[in-house]
Amino acid sequence: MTQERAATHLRSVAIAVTDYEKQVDFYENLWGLKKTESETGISYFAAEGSPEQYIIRVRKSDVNRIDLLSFGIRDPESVDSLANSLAEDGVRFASEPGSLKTPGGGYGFRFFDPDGRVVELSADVAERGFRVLEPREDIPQKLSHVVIYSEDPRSVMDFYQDKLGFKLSGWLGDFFGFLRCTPDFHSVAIVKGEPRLHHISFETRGYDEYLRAVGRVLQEGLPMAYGIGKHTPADSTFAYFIDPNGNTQEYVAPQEMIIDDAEYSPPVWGPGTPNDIWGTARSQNMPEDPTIARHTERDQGLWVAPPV
Amino acid sequence: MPLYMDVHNLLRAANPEAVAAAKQRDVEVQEKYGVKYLRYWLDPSTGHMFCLVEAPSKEAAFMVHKEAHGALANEIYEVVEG
Repeated sequence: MTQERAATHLRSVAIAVTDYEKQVDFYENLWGLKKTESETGISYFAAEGSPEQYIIRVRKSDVNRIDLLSFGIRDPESVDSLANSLAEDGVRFASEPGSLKTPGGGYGFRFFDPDGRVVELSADVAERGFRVLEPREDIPQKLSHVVIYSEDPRSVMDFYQDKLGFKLSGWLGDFFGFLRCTPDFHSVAIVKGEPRLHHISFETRGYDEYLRAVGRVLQEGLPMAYGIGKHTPADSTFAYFIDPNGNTQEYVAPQEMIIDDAEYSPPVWGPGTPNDIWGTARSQNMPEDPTIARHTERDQGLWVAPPV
Repeated sequence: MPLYMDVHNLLRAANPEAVAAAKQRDVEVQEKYGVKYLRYWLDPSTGHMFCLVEAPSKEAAFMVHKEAHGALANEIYEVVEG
């Protein structure tokens, strides 16, 4: 895998939900995102601290599903090169390379990963005006990572590494794999289970801002499902909440960054690895075992291209 | 031109050679953003790094790291030399 054909970063996650109005209200008025554009039945949300045009898209639907996982790629030539490579490998496309109509435009295409999730790769998407967050600001500064379930996590992990240039950051047993496409420890992780969303994670500026964000949501009356704590992989803090459509959303403080890929050896954390190394987390309505089903059902969008 | 110190808190496999290579990529893209990275200090044992940078804004300094290597600073402070 050459660098030209590798995903450069996680741009956005698009979800479709049955209760659209409540989801929009959740992201805009509780979670701390900024609604940048909306049309009938679809809204785009940016993070104040990120130049990414949008990090979340919500679409009104009669089923709950992941619409898109969207990643950056270096330039339009790399888009074409990677599209050709995937076509040669027999990967099924949802759209051919072309101009994108979503905010920021750009050039990209969509295809199905081995579980049938739709992945978008794009280049030349215009960046938005943003600002580096100040100390004590209790809102997300960027999209951190997305975690998805797969019945065969190893083969899906292999696909993202072999076809899209992701690097392995580690495994928790043989049921939870972590992948990076920037120095951040993970942008994508895959956990064993029926295909659906595990959670979407939003990074705050630091630990103080993470706690302030958690506190703000609690004060607004939404109970925390599981947290606050720190996972062993990535020294990654966690605080999980359930949104109005049953999706798990997480606040996380900045995670580890891996600088020298050649020096780094991806760990395999075995049985007995503490789920919370701080010992502060309490589970209210979420199983601590990550392989046990969360609040969403099997993804209703597998192998079906979203209409937008 | 404002002077900023950016702080990286959780670097792993941050040996001096790899960090120097990343800093060189900063130098290669900084002119586009009107930024000049001046000096940096690294504690490889705990994964902390501090970069002194002249930049028109925090956002400009941020964009250099983003484009150069993606290892974004956790914190950026405007500083004055004492």
